[in-house]
Amino acid sequence: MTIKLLDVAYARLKTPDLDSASQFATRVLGLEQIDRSGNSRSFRSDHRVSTLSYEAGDPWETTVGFELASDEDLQIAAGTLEAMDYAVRHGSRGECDQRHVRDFIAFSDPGGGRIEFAVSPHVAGSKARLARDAGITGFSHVGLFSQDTTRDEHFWTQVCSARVSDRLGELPLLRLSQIHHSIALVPADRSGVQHINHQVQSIDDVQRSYSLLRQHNVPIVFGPGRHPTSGARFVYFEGPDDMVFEYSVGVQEVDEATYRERQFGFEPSSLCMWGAKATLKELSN
Amino acid sequence: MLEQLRFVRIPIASLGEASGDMLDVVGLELAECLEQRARFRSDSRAYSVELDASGTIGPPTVAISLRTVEQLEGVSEPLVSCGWSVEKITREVCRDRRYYAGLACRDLSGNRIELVVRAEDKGRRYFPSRDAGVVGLSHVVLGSRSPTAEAAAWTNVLGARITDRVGAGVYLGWDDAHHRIMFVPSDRESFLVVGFEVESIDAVMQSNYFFLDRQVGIFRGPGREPASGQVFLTFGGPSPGIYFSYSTKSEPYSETRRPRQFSATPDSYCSWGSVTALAELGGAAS
Repeated sequence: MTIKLLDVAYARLKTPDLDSASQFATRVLGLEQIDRSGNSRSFRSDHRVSTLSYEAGDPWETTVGFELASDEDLQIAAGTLEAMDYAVRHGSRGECDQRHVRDFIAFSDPGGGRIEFAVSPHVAGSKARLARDAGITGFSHVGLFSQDTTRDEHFWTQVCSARVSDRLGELPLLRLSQIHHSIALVPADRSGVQHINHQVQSIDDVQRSYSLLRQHNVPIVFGPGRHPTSGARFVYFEGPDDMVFEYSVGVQEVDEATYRERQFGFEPSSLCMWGAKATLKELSN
Repeated sequence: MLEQLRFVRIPIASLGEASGDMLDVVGLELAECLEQRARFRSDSRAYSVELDASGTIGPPTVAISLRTVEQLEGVSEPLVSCGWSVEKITREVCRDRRYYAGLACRDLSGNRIELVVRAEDKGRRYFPSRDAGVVGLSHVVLGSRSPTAEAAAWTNVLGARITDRVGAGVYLGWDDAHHRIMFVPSDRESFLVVGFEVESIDAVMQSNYFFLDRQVGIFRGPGREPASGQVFLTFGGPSPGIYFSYSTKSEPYSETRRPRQFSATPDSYCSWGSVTALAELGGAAS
């Protein structure tokens, strides 16, 4: 049975320097730090209790969590994956608490990327107290490295419930809801998280952050620009351990009944309609 | 009383390259080539920029229209009382400049202001030479020794209103736009920014990368002006002290809003945090 994904829920990153990464997450990125234990820190970006965490460890070991609607859907997902010979691990109570979810399962996707499917990510009653006025409205999508986008697109669209919104050359943009995309599969010779997107309120927030990032000597790797695919205005920059973060605003919503996926050529004007050139290795050949 | 910002006339050394840049860089349409002069369109009017290489020296001219000849005659004396010099423009020159009647004025700082009546429009639509998204001539920024003293003639005689102030700079408007003229303190012989409205932020940002690719000097922006809400990009013009700017439509003027005083700090000139090379507009003095 198809695994029904509601949304992307959280990203879990590892770093050799927890303090620097945490400082970046709050002072630069602008998130609220919600808890710290000996070797991990959690951060909040929106109504959810936690959407990003850093843990001491190898930066290549990245994990993305997706939300499923119910315990029953989680059981179905576990069964489906096991029937396809994926090694599925059920999260312990302690691990669920760390992630602020009721339950989750963990497995590796066809390329070896660490994926978790979770139920009931906890929501807070209060508003997120963002560490700076970055205008963040929430964690919104991830880019995933893919060694074989045909294979991985098949997994996300046929085994799971994602739909293709657009393609840039061999790079598919996949949606889970009406939002144009929640997953971008970026061709590369590795797996794991390629970038982490937070939506902001307005173009002013994108541009203000661009100036602030430059003042802090944070490497800008793409933008400010505008994607012709989703219509979003964006800026991409490098965080700790070369992880790429993105702020964007104005991602188009898709009408499921009438929308048809489009094929864009893999060229600069398909990535940015303003003329910004990406310095990201995977986006600039 | 004031109707429309109509055109600017810019004295330059020679036409050649400057004229080409008006088309290839700014994206205007060549309207007329006269002897040592060239005129360019940015909207439905006959022209909005004239480059004058005929040997005229001194500051550029900013032309603004009034509705009637009677109004034109009426303001002459009061302007002189305000300290302006005012001279009637001959019929022949008016015809050459494509308006019915005009006054050649110098304000307190020596800026050339031309008050004109019945400046010509064209039946044929504006056809830009590059897709810069230009909608039309929208505003100018002029240097002044004393913007507040300068503003008095505009408000008392010409019926303009002060819409906002930033530092010692004064925004003046008279229609539904936030401002049409801004006076900023400047000790240069001439300082003029000629502002064109463009369709959207997309157009501003596309020109930003277009200029970066072609190494066109960007002097300010891309940024957003807090007072007017305009997203702007200011770049080098045909002679020193003259700049062109693209900007998005300003927030509409509201009768109920009071003029605000913005502090003379960089964030009053740009809410995006862009830096500028123009001392007159919040840049570090060069």
